[in-house]
Amino acid sequence: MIFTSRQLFNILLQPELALSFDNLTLSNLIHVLRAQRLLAIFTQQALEQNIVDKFESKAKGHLLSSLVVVQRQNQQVEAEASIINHVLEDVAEHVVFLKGAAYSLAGYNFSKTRAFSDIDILVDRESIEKCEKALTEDGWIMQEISSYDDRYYRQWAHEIPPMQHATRGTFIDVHHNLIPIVSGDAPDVKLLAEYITTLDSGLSVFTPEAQFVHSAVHLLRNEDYQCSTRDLFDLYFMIKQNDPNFALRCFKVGEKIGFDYETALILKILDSNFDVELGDYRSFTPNLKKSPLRWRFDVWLMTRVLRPYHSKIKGHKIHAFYLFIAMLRGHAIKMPVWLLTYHMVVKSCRRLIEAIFGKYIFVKEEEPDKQN
Amino acid sequence: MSDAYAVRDNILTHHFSDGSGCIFFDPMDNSMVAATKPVEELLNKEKSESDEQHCHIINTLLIHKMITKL
Amino acid sequence: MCRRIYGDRFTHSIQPSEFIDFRIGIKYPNFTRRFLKPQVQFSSEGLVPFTPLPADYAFAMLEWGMNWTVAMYEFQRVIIHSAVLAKDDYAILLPAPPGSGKSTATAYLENNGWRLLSDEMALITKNTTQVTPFVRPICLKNASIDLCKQMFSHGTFSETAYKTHKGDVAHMSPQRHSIEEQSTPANIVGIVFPQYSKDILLDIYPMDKTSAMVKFSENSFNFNFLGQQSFETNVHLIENTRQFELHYSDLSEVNAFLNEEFCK
Repeated sequence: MIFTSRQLFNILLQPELALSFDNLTLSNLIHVLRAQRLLAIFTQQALEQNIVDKFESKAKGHLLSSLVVVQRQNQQVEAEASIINHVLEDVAEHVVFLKGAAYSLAGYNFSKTRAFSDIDILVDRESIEKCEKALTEDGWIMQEISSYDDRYYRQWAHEIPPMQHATRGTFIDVHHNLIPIVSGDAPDVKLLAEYITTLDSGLSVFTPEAQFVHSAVHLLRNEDYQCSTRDLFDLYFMIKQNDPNFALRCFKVGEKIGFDYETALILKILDSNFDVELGDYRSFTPNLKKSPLRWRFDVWLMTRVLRPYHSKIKGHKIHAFYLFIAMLRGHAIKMPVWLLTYHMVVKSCRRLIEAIFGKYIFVKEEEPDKQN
Repeated sequence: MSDAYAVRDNILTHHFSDGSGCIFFDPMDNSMVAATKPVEELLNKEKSESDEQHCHIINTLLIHKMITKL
Repeated sequence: MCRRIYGDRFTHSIQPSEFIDFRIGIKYPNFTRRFLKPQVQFSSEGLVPFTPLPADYAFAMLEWGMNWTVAMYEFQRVIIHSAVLAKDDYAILLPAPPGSGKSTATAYLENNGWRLLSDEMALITKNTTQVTPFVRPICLKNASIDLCKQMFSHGTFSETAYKTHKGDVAHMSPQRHSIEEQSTPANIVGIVFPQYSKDILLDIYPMDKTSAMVKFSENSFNFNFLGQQSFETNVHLIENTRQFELHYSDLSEVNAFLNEEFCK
């Protein structure tokens, strides 16, 4: 059976629609949702609507298993974040937890469905080297990357290369801004400081409105959209869990820090995909600084590219084309043209070699079977 | 003089039925410490500086934040 | 190869009433690698978790990939790195590191009165002693391959993958009687840690439960994620089974011991 995106969106929010599926279709659904990292959302909705037990026993097993990793992460993240905060609080002006870790620390309901591969934090740029040193002394090791990529991170991007704790295995990404400096659009970090809030635990995150804007920016300025529906659902849940004026407040924050365009764009996309209360967001768009043509292009492309992508979803082949266009768009947004050309030339030589000899020609030989 | 310790609230312990010893488990980080003595004896033993093994286990439990000194 | 090793359990047709747990695949990573130093790549549920390997290793990669997939996604059961064999309802776990002779022992026991539930992974229902069969080929390595081919000339073997990261590897198909019982769980009564050494007499060491718990927990696959549930299940198993270390060279002695200790 081939699913449509609309069907999947409906099933995710109304899991009872899947109760009538035969076993093969149900297992196809689980397979698609798992591959697109949406299975935990489906399971959580089914739990909240008390219908998990109505599924066939094998399916139920898979559904419940999908929550285990997330539950484990949620259990550990506060302890891990406290350790990181303790290591950096005397060294950095601020230590703000971002994205998945922040959702969990703030106790958002949808964080029960979202695994995250690392802990993202924001510190002030001036303290970055001291933070790196303090983390190293605490047992964090910088990941091995090429010298080109290392330079990319430090000189052009807004973060240092990822680090991993030697004994606990946790990954950390240390940022000093929300988007790459080299893009020319990175906000003034002094403006961001206004939106830092401290939780009861003593840890710092952004206010819900600023988190929404950051998530929107992060999603709409990406270049890889193969598994991006999950991030769209995060934004949907953020709207759902707040009052009807939340969207307007988010837009005001976006305006203040220079991301009004991205905020308006994501609200438009949410409006076309979900039944949500967004206020009169259409009144926001006339004042946006980008051209109407650019707006129409972004709405057209991003609406499509944020849908699930899988061979068992209708429109799979054309979706691959949208992903390619979005990849070009993402690179162009991140860098000035001259740098983009250099970056693409370096990366394309590598890709040409990989295309002929295989994707892993540059990877060191290592154990393929992690468990044995 | 004896040192007395208490198991922290969040730590699980199990005393094996064959009397071979006990095990401490921290669900937060999955760390496990095994001891070849019963829990009560371990935590309330009269202090003996020559008992290196006992001291080692107590220190390990303290480092892993599984027990506190009373 | 799949048809040879899995027989009629390998099929092209799937009925709507069948539930498929996982979707995996082996294919060439790109056009060039189909012909130039051929390589194959394993995919599982939308991910490509391993670097490609020489095409000769395809079947071995598929088997390793299946183990990886179950370990990655199955959290309804506690998974222990162990062979599992049973006689009637009595099941024995044989947790052992590589080089202990576990796979040869597993093949021997399966051909001498025991049924195979698993060669690598014990799937244990939480807080019980119940183990679910996961009947798949036995992974033989190095000297064990020729030894098993000699001992069990009626057996079905895959081609050997030479010089993999585990040495030479071949797989031996499970026996018919194991496959016929593949839907029948069993109750674990014993945990035996085997260690092969050439030309020694059988040495049996009953273990105290504290030591057994520590050694057993070292073989837990999904302990990290299941945490407390895994700990409690391990404790339950240790308390409700008997544990031994065995140093052996003659497998018939091992078989005799297991029958005497657990099946009477």
